[in-house]
Amino acid sequence: MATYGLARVFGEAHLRVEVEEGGKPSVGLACEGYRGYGIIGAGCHGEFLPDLLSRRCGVDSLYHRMAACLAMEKALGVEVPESAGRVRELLLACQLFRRHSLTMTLHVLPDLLFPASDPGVRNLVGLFRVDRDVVGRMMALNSWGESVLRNISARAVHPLTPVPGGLTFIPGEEAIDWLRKSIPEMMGLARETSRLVRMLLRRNEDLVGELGIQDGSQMVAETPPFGGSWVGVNIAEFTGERRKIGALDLLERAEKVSLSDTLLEGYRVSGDGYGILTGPLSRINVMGSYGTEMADSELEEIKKIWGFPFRGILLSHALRLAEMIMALEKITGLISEADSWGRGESRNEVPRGSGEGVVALEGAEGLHLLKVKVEEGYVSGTEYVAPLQWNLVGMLDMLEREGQKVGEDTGEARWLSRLEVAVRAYAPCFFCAAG
Amino acid sequence: MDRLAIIQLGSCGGCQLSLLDLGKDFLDIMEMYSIEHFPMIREGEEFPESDLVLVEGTVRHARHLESLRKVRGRARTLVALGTCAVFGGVQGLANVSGGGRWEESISRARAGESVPLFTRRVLPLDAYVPVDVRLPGCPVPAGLLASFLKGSAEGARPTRESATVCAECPLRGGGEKGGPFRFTERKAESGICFLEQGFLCMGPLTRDGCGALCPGSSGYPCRGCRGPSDGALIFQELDPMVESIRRLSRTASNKDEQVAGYFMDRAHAFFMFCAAEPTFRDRRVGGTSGIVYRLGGE
Repeated sequence: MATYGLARVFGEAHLRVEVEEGGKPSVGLACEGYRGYGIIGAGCHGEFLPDLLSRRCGVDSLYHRMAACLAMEKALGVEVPESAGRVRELLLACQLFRRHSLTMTLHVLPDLLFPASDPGVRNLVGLFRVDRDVVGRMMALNSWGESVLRNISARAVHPLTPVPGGLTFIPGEEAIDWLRKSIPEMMGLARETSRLVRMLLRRNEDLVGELGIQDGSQMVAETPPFGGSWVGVNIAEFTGERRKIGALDLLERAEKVSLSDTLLEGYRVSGDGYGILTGPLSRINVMGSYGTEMADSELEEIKKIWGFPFRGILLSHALRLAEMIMALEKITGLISEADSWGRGESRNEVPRGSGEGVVALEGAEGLHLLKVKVEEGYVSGTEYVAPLQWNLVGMLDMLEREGQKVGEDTGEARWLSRLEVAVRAYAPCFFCAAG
Repeated sequence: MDRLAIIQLGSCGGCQLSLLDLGKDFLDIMEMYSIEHFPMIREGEEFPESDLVLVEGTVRHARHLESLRKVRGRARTLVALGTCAVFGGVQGLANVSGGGRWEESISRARAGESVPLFTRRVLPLDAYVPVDVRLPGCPVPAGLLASFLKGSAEGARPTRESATVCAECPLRGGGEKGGPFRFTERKAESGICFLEQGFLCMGPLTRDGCGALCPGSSGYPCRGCRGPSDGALIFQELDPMVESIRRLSRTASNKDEQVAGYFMDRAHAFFMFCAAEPTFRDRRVGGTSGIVYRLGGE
């Protein structure tokens, strides 16, 4: 057995390749980043839960913080003020943009731009040595994503403002004005990058047609990816069959899949056999459209080239760019009504009480499911499933199939590189999934 | 050109992101240093010889420890990056709750699986290897990180003594006294010190450098994410729990025991980011810092 560290992913993971004499290799995945998040929240007062759970992941920390707030509110029957609800939607739109910009800039674009280059060169550092301006332009998307979260929620990593009951403050005029003025430039850059990504995907058409093709179920929260009550979940099949289930029902039907040589657990939904796919590709396959003008125009371009529904997992990259454009349109819409935000309270008091709250929160890469049990204000237990844990069964199946292709390409290095490209297409977050 | 490596142990990646979030400053840093290892953005399994190594996170399993010792042996200067590396961070709360997956990892390894053996206890990096520089923060404040890296390229080292978050906080005294209160259970008056209103705020016992971001400009009490101040580490009477209770008792005109009884979650409330810090364990019955320090060093 040999292990290969996965670089350019979020978190700590290895590909494990096992070869039996005369046979084809078997490829698995090991995630070793366990830190104890399943137990550290137990016993704390609910006021601390968002601070603790947001530390589970620096990349997706807003989703963890928001899920903790929503679960506490559900458990104790608390409504948030309307203005705070609107700013929370704004924050989720900003986080969607930020997460996709990180994935594309740090992990994906180097692969798509230079698929045949040495892995030691095919990354941000290698690119920088060749052309500082190109890297500067790539990083601009990420820098804007960071700035917008910092302006609205004090920090991009471990944002501060969402608390059970609402927000600590409503962003002021200066922050909103900065946002309003900076959006046009970012929209231009996002659309330009979107065209570039489509072109690069066409250049890698063989991979698009082969990697991550699966006929499993697809899952998305009821109101993706902003707003609403975040309690229901839509499941759709490629056959066209659709159904809705509640988040609590989903948690009860979620079956753990234990994997050898790793403590990471995958999930499948009982009665759905194969496994579940979540994330940008599933989202659009279930929703059909983004509901905003420019994002839907991008979507039409993608449909023209690759048809619909989408299957190859690499197409997620084109869809990530479309979602970034959608996020910018949503942000524009939300801040157009910002004048009315300052009129009410930013948060409601959360009474000391007992109850259970389950939240299905649609994040950039899929469904975060969190259940919190509260007794007299104190958290007595939490259960959490990360987006990657839903995708894991399908991803491992894809790796197993790709594993059989060793020797069909130009050697082990290219083969391993292809495996890594396939994993990165899911934009997995091992920080979120490791616990 | 100095060689820079970023090493990721058990962490959330937030401090690596702080570096990437520096924008134009990050591009300048890429020009100042030769980046040899940085798992979030470039390949490279082996740890190279480096002039400056930033280590993010805590040792959570045997492979982390092996990596850390290798890195220490190949680094001229080793920096503990972020509160997890410096004080154990929120991961230290796993010590309070039990061994986590320690026993599971042992039983699965005995059954022949190739799983790493997890540590039973979270400890700061300097319990394992000598650390040259400590840059706490959750995440480490971007401005501090940029100035450290730029200064370090010219041979400078941070030497400033730590003050506390209160020294940077613009909130003023006054307001209605009472409490203790939970932040989520009661609205706070803006512009007034949280402690003076009866809310727990760790500002007086937390090291400065964040600009009092939470209490000062975000309407949120300090949770202590920069870690304990020098005073809280050195003086037993400034222990984060003892001193916080004393301050809240004064505001609430209650006895210390009554205020202490209000907090059933003392580890989370007073040691959220430093429950793994051996200095505090040593002050309490069952403290193990003597044993911990014997494990350290190369």
